[in-house]
Amino acid sequence: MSIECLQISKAYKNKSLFKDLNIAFEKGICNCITGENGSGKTTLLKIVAGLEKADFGNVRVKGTCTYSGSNPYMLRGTVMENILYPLTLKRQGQQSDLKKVQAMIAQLGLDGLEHREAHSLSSGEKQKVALGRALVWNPDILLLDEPTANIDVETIERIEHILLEYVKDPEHTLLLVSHDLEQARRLSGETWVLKTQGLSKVNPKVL
Amino acid sequence: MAYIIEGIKEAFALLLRGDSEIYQIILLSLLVSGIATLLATVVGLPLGIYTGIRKFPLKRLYGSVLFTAMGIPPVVIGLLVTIVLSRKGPLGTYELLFTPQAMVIAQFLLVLPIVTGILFGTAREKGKHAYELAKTLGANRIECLFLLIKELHSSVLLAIMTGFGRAISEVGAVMLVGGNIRGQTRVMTTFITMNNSMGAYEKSIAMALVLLSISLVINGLSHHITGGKSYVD
Ligand SMILES: Nc1ncnc2c1ncn2[C@@H]1O[C@H](COP(=O)(O)OP(=O)(O)OP(=O)(O)O)[C@@H](O)[C@H]1O
Ligand SMILES: [Mg+2]
Repeated sequence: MSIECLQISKAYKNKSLFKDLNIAFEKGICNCITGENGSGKTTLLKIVAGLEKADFGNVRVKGTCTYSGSNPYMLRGTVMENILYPLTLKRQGQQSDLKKVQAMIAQLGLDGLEHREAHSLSSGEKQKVALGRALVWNPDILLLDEPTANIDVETIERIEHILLEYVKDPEHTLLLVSHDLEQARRLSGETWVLKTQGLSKVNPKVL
Repeated sequence: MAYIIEGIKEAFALLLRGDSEIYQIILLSLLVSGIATLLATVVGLPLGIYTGIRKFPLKRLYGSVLFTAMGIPPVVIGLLVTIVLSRKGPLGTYELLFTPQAMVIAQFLLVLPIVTGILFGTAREKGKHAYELAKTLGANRIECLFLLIKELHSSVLLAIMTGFGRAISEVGAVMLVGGNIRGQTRVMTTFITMNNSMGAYEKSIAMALVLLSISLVINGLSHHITGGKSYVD
């Protein structure tokens, strides 16, 4: 397993989201989390990403890990520059970087938008850019919060294909929040429902 | 009325003649305020950004103190620095009082809260998302800082410009710690004050015109950066 949550608890003011949560997420599959609005899915993902702290407990994450939220932040500059940014942090050769970015743009169907100001994109386009930005970095663990919330049907198919390709690598772990149980079924990994009592495994086929 | 017009005529003559004392004073002013602003930026930029994006206890109090410190009267800072640097003061042995170094120290203290405060404010409002993005992509602290400087670059420029504008136009601090010594610590504002009290209006006016031009350029640039708004995106 690549993500392990040990006895983690989180509460805001007087609202308890989860208590003594123990869960491990497996490599090589898509782990899908679903649950009611406000049940703490985003918070859980942020805790795993290290952006929020659990009140109690530990999270063990093995390998590189990145998070992309449902309302992603666009850096100043073009779509191209946004997707290139993670690679500049890795300091690899410029030539191969640009090729990777171009391939990612084509894969996500963002052709033609390469030189657009990222700030001026629609929310669906921004989500695609954010996904590309996370994927191009090739993390061991990918945390995605409702990555297809604002996306058209055709592109959802495209993105799900990319995500299935991603988890084909047995070293990759995908942890995805989605309200779409059909999507969970299509990505066919493990599906969990988050409730205050904890995470319970469900079979999306029978729901 | 006539003496005002005479004064302005004389002022232009003085500037065009290339009076070396005047140009030396302008140069010293630019150097002192420039170095003070540079040092304040080196410290205040990372400090403001870092404290703006981080959560820590008493952050609100820290913010209030910082915003209050942005408005400290220069003459109070001048007094403080004078006490510390005077012979009997804690740093008296360095004999810095009435030197340009002392003026840099005083203006540094004046500009530091301005640069820090402006960046703290913007980073607190707008820096968190960029910071989280950099962090989730494995950026180290320096890389996070550089990304934030890039993302908030309008505010960075505005902070520097505001700080420099405040430093170059203040008279209280440089007067107290510099002493307005001819050829050594005399700067534009103390030159104006002195000539004014001596009744040498043409010299005051000449220097005031220079100072005014510098201030206008700075304000114009700030206005350009913010697009005429009172805040920065
Ligand atoms: N910084 C915060 N301060 C106080 N309360 C918060 C904070 N962040 C989240 N909450 C609360 O915690 C609860 C869980 O929020 P979270 O965003 O994790 O829910 P979610 O499961 O992702 O919901 P959704 O399906 O709507 O995205 C909500 O009730 C929210 O109001
Ligand atoms: Mg959410």
